[in-house]
This record gives sequence, structure tokens and C-alpha cells, in this order.
Amino acid sequence: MIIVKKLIFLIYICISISSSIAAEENPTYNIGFYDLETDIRYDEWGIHPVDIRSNTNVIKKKPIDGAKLGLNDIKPFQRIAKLKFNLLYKSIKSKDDAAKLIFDHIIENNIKIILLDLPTNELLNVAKKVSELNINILNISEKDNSIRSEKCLQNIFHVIPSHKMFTDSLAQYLSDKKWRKVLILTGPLEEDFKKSHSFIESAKQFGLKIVDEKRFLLGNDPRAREKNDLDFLTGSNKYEAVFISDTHKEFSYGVPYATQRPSTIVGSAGLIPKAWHWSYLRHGAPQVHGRFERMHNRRMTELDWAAWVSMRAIAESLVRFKNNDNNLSNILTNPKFKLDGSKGPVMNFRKWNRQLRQTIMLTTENWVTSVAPLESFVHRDNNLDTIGMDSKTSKCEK
Amino acid sequence: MKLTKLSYKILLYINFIFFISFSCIADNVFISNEGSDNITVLNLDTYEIIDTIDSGNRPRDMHYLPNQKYLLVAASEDDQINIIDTQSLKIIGKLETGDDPEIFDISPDGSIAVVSNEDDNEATIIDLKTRKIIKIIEDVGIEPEGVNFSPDGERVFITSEGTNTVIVIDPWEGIIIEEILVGNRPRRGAFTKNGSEYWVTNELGGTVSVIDTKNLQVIHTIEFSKKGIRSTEITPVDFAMSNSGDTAYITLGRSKHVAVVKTDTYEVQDYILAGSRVWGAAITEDDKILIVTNGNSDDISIIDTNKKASIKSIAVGRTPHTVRIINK
Repeated sequence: MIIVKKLIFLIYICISISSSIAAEENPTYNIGFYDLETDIRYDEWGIHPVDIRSNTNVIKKKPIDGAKLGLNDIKPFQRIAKLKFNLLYKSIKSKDDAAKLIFDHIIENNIKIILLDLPTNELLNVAKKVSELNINILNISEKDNSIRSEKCLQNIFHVIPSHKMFTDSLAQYLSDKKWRKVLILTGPLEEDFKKSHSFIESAKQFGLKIVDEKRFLLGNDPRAREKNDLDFLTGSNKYEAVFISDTHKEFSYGVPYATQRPSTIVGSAGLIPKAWHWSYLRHGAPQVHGRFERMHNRRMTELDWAAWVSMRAIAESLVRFKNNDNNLSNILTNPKFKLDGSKGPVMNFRKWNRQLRQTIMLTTENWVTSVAPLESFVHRDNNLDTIGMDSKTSKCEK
Repeated sequence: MKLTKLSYKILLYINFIFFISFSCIADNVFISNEGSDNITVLNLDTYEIIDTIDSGNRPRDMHYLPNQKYLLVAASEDDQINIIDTQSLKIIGKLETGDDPEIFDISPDGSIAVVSNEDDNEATIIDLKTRKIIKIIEDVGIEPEGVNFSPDGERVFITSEGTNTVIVIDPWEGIIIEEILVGNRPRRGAFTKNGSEYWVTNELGGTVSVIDTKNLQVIHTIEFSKKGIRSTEITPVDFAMSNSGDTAYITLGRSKHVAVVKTDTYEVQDYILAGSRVWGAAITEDDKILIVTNGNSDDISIIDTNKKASIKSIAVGRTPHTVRIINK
């Protein structure tokens, strides 16, 4: 009896030793994910007014959920990468301390690469702070054009498309349909102004005519009716399409089917450009979306997708370029780097501003109506470069 | 006199039997249309559509049982494989498969089938006699797709689209033996005639990886390029290996072309124009006719392999997926 017990004990020791050896064989690769506890971009904006009373629809739809699915999906790569992937998540309370807190967290936890879900200012602060660490950043939510051009930093890789990529996609679509006269309605926020400005640039590039740009306000004040009454805003010009930029969304909800002239609405309402939409049926997208829904019980947003595909980019680079000097920056911009984002063409990062090349979905509430770049727009190197800043227009240091 | 009459009768009878057996197993072509939930049946001599079978929801991969009397079709949305009698063209039974079966294969002896369940990252092994699941192999990579029995029936190779690998399993023991890194988004595979190599299409990588089935390593990568076609358009999907063993026909998806590749030198000899998003492929026993499905133009192309050109295109159902030819 005692012998049997001893034997079992011995076997137990053997198993625990062998399992600890196995664990040591595969070193951990720590990936950091940081966002803000209160981020104005996730506040009431974009939430339908009726959902303020909802128990289900006001849950924070934050892209950490996409990264969690990404971690699950890259686990099978561990066998070949001979690494153990680990995701460390920290939500920052005070945005002024974001850079320092993230810096310390990286050092404490031996983090190799970070995903940031931060607005422009905080993103740039963190990027400057960690520049001495030789750590790369994947920007998964900030679409600001300037950080891909005049304000660009070498250690940021942009996974989410820029505003310019979105407005170029819409401009291609309108041009393709020959709806070339466009009225612009711009909301009161600076973000709205940035989007409209981006659309104006795209319009110039793709041969659209801007008939007018009007600033609107949400409200009922009869003294400001030329700014808050849609009939006044859309009554005086001849146009075939309306571009609206409205981060807050409540005004734009009422614009489709309500303009004075019959016209297509694009931008923040009507046909909305997105990096990802749950209704997309091609290229294995339903499988990704299905996994996300089963994990989180909600639709996968474009930010979830950006976080998910960032995790894939990390795994792909580590699996394919094992013998490299661990410089992920060179790998991600290597033309041989091929990322599968389950939305069609193979993707990689533009060398000049480290923006992920990708298709843009032009979406309605429940359908992907078209995918940009449209077939009729071709580029000398890669058709995906017909949308967004190309090497000439981006002011990044090359 | 009587004898001759009798022999005449016997002859007639024999003739009749032959007539029955040959006319019923006509030179039929079966095409699964995943968008319109049916199978188009085509006469290979006249190219006329002779029937459309309600196949179950979202029919995709199809395979014959070894005697060709039954055609199995994966009805993905019904989570089962339906069994179609190739003579009566009726569904006569079903196999349970687990969730969302897309691609499957049957062991050369016809006793078991292996199915990939892409939503669950699993492979399911089914006994074809009892029509029940024997075993589920978990963790065969993210989004498993292509499934192929080795010609000796001992191994099954499964492609994992999400993990960019080929997983080699022993279906009889139900265990994973090896995992091999290939190109991006491996879709389908095919063994060469003698079983010494396993070829895999990398849809996003735009290449074909050739795996040595003995040492389980990638020994060659076939690349494609044709003037006027952008490399991003070249998205290889399916194979038809010639019965002579010397040629592989590889459908190149968005590029609308089928590549003709020498199996011994890996040399790409030609590109044949087909339809929009060409993917499924099958070849006749005599290697003369290649049929491919064009997923985006709802038709099939009939290709003369001598002329290396499409000689006819035929409208079928919506989103034709797989094509199978009855070999006489």
C-alpha cells in the first residue's frame, strides 16, 4: 500500500516537473492594452437617446473585448511561435497621468508591445514617453488624420483607418455613382469639423463638387432656424448627395429621407463608412463575428475588429519572422508581411505613415452596400492605396 | 431453334441490364449551389441540365461513396450531410456532422468520413455504416476548412484558415500528429496521385505550398503571375488533379483564371480564363474535360484541357460551390 502511495507521489512529482519544464520552454510574450476609464469618445455620443433607459444597450462597448477574442484566436499560434501570449489590461483613471502610468506598467510587467485605445493627445503623450523603450504601439481607435501626417511618430502603427480613408471611400462611391454635387452639413464639434475637412480633400481628389458647407446645431430655437431646421439647411442648393459629420449623432439620425431634395446621405448617417460591420458575409467575416458574439453577447464593432486584428498582427509577425532581430517595426512594414483581417485582400502597413492598408465597408444599419476601394479606382502599386494618404500627401518623415 | 431463341432472349436480357446500369449512371455532373440551396445535375455529353435537387440548406462540399451510387453533400446550415441516390436523384438519408460542416472527405474504403466544423475549430469523424459521430477532434486550429484523406487512408490533412497551418491527424486513433506552417489563409488541399506530396492553396498568400507527406515539411512554394493580373487578385482555392498524375489544375479565385501546373517540376504552364471568383473544380476520368464553378457569376465553365480554353459556360444556381463528375 505504502509502495503504491510512493509510486503515485513519484509519478505526481514527475508530472509536475515535466509540466514546469514545458512552461519554461515557452517564454511568455506580454501584450499591454490601455484605455481610459472615462473617454469622451465612448460617452453619450453615438448612443441612441432611447437607450439611456436601456439595461442592455448602454453597456460599455469597449474594444478590449476584441483584444480578448484576438488572444483566444492567436493561442493556436503558440505551438509554432514557441511563446505563450499574455494580455494585460489596464484602464487609466486620470488621463493626465496616462503616459506615466502606462510607462511604469510596461516596465513592471515586461510588456513587449501595446495596444492603445486613447484619444489623440493621450496617444501622442504615451508614444513620446515610451519612445526610449523601443516598444511599438498599435493605435486601435483614433482616426485623426494629423497623427498620420504632420504629427506622426515613428513608434505608432495605426490599425484603425484614418478619417481620410473613410472620406476617400465615400468620395469614390459617390463619384462611381455619378452623384457629384455634394452638400456638406458639419456639426458643432471640432471632431465634426475635422471629418468635413477630410471629406473636402477627398472630394477634390475624386472630382466631386462641393455646392456648400453648412454648420448645424441640435436644438429648436426659432432664432437659429437656419442652423437647426433641416428644411432651411437643405432647401437652397442643388445637390445629389449630402455628407454629414455629426459625432454626437442625434441630429444626423433625422437627416435620411428628410432633405428637401431627394438625395443620398453619407457620413454619420445613411451610408456610413466603417472598418468592420457585423453584417459582412464574405472572406470568413461571419466566422470571426460569430466567435465574438458568442464570447461577448453583442455585435462586433470596428474598434473591436481593430483590437482583434492587432493581436493577429502580433502573432503573425512572431510566427513568420522568428529569426528576425525582434524588431517588430521592420516586420510590420515588410512588404512580405501578410495580415489576414477576414475582409478580403491581404493587409500590411504603409511604410510612410505606418497605417494599415485595408478595405473600407460602406454600411447601412444592417448591410454592407459596397466595399472601397471600388473596382474602377486603381493605383500603380496597390489598389488599397487609392484610399488614405499616400506617400506624397503624408507629411511623415520617411 | 429453341436454343437460339433462348440465347437471343438471354442476350436481350443482358442488354437490358447493361442499358439500365449505364443509362442510370449517366455521365452526370453535380454542382452544389450554396446560395440557392440546391444541386444542379447536368448531362456531360449534351451539357443540358437534367434536374435540380433540393439539397438541404447551404450545400457545399460533395463526395461520392466509392461505388458512386451515393453522393454525399454537406448541408452546412442544417448541420448534417445528406445522402443522395445518384440514380433516383433523391435524398435517401443523412449523417450527423456537428455544427456547420463545409468540407469533408471519405476514407478510401468508404467506412468513415471526416468533416471540418469551422465555427467550433473541430474535426468530426463519422461512421458511414451507423451514420453516427464516432469522435470529435478538438483544437484543429481556427476555422478549419480543407479535409483530405491520404490515398492510403491512414492520415487526414486539415487546413486551418485562421492559424495558417495544416494539421495532420490519425483519423483511426483520433489524434493530432503534426502541425505544419504554410502560407496565409490555407483553403484546400490535394494529394498528388502517388500520395508523396500534399498541395495546399494559400488564398491570401496567393501561393501553393507543397508538403512532403513523409517528413511533413514544406518543400516548395508555387507562385503565380500573369501579365495584367495584380498579385492581390490571385487567390488560389481548389484543385483538380489529373488522373494521369502529371498535371494539377488550380482555381485562382478573383483573378478569374485556372492555373495549369506540372506536378513533377512545379512549373506553371498556362493560365486558362474562367468566370468570376472561380473556385470549385473537377476533371473527367479521361482528363479531357475540366469543370470549374464560378462563385460570383453563378455559372460553371467547361474547359477543354487539350485546347486549354473554356468551351462553354452554363448558368446554374446561385453561388455554385463544388462540382463532382461521375466517372464511368
